[in-house]
Amino acid sequence: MIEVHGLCKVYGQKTAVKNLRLRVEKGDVFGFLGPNGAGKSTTIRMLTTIIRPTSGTALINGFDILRQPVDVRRQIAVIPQVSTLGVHLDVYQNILIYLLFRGHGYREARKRTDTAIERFGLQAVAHLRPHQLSVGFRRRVQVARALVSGARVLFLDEPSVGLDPMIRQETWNSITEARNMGVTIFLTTQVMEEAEALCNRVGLLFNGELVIDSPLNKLKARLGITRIEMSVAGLSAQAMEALLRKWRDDHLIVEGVQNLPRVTVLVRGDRAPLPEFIQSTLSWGGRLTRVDVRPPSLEDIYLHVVKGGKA
Amino acid sequence: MSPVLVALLREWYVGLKSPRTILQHLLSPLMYLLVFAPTMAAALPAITWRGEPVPYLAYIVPGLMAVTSVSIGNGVGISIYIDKLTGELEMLFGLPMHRMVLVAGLCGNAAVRAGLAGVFIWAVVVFLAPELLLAGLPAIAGSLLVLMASAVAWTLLSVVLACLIRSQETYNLAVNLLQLPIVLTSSVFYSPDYGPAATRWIARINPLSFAADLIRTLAAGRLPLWSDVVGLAVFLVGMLGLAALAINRAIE
Repeated sequence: MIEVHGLCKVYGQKTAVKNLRLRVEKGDVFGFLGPNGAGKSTTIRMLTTIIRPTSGTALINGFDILRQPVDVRRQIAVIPQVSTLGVHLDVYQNILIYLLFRGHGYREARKRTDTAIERFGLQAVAHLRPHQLSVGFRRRVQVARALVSGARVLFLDEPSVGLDPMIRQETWNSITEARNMGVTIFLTTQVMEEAEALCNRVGLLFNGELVIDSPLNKLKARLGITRIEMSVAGLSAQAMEALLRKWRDDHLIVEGVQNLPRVTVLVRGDRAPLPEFIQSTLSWGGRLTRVDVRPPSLEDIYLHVVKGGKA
Repeated sequence: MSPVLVALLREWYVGLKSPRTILQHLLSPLMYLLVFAPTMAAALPAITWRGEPVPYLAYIVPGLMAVTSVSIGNGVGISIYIDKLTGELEMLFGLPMHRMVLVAGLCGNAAVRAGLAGVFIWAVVVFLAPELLLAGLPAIAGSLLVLMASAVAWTLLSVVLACLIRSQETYNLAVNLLQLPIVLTSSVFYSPDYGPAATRWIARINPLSFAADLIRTLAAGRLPLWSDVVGLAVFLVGMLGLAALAINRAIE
């Protein structure tokens, strides 16, 4: 379980994380979303005891990140965004040393290393050094060693970056398996498909502030956004762009993107102003050939909040 | 397995994967022994040290050992920057152990390298001037211990600098600014008594002089001076304390 109490981090004049408060229950997969520079990695580095918060604190499975950092580290495993593999060690040694440092006995560590090598298809590269591997393989090694570490809380910073679809699916399966075993998972991602596939709860960090913290199923209803996908004929891209601007100015839509003939707009509420769309498209010389009304995707919500500046 | 043993195992793997980093510590003393020392010995057959004439070759071998301990420490500092750049250091800091465990691993690595370098230097001396080995095995073992202790102390200084200095370029500059005066005001290549008055007092508190003079005394088959033992011990303990402080503030 993760409990965050008013976490702040200030670098000089810049506040990277502002008074962050959240709670992730045991067995939850919490998706921590936000644009680049929102403060996601800084938050993870504070929660994993790499850097000290300027104020506030957090408990990881009941251990305080400030007062009991070593106990916290026993509970957690981290998969950061960039490779953190030792350049002088081969893949097997990287995993083995990591597990030994985590406190596993030599025999147990070897067994888990063998499991990681086999499960993540690393047999062919087990005795290569990181610089001899592709980015994807390096990522795979990091994911493998964290997932076999036996940690009770996993922090994953963009876990799918650089992975091919097969290994990405394997990683997702492992994350789901870990969750089913009661492991708490805190992951940052920019891939909304990943958040939708894995997370049961999401938080959105924007300019260092948590602007959304909600179970995924309630979030869509709570924001009151509807997604409308239309096919438009008879309009040029410039004309469609101008029409979207007009709809925005008239507050008919919150956001809209076009890739003619496809046009996707987000509207407030659950009722689409279809008559207005049909009429104004006709008056601009075009016509609607198809309209689908759908619940918003997580990506829609993300874009809505980030583009709108705040929830 | 205790974390310190794991740290040593990691360093062992690192050493096995990159033996060239060990060879580099052997190359410099070899060059000094094969070129610099005989040339200087021809020009200056004996040197007065602590009031007695000493053959130059007997004088410089302990000095080279002491200098090797500095270069080993410096090499460890550079390896810390590699671990910083690759992100491995941050990953290691996130593991459930005290950060000093990593320092213990680095010190163990430095001690092994220093021991190997010491054995190598004595092996070369067997061919160059076997008469210098008259003091026997206990003296050689003692000199290796001093060399290892000195390498650990300089490694700890490198850890302190690497924790305080963000970029490797600035670290290299700082090491050069520090290392050259330390070597030149020490008793490594010549007796500081020959030097200007201003540098003589520096030699008396120079940790490199303590190590060089300790090895020199042991190699001559004499009992070491307490001042040298205490000087090196104070340097070692002081650096240990500073390293413990600095490592906990690293990556803030």
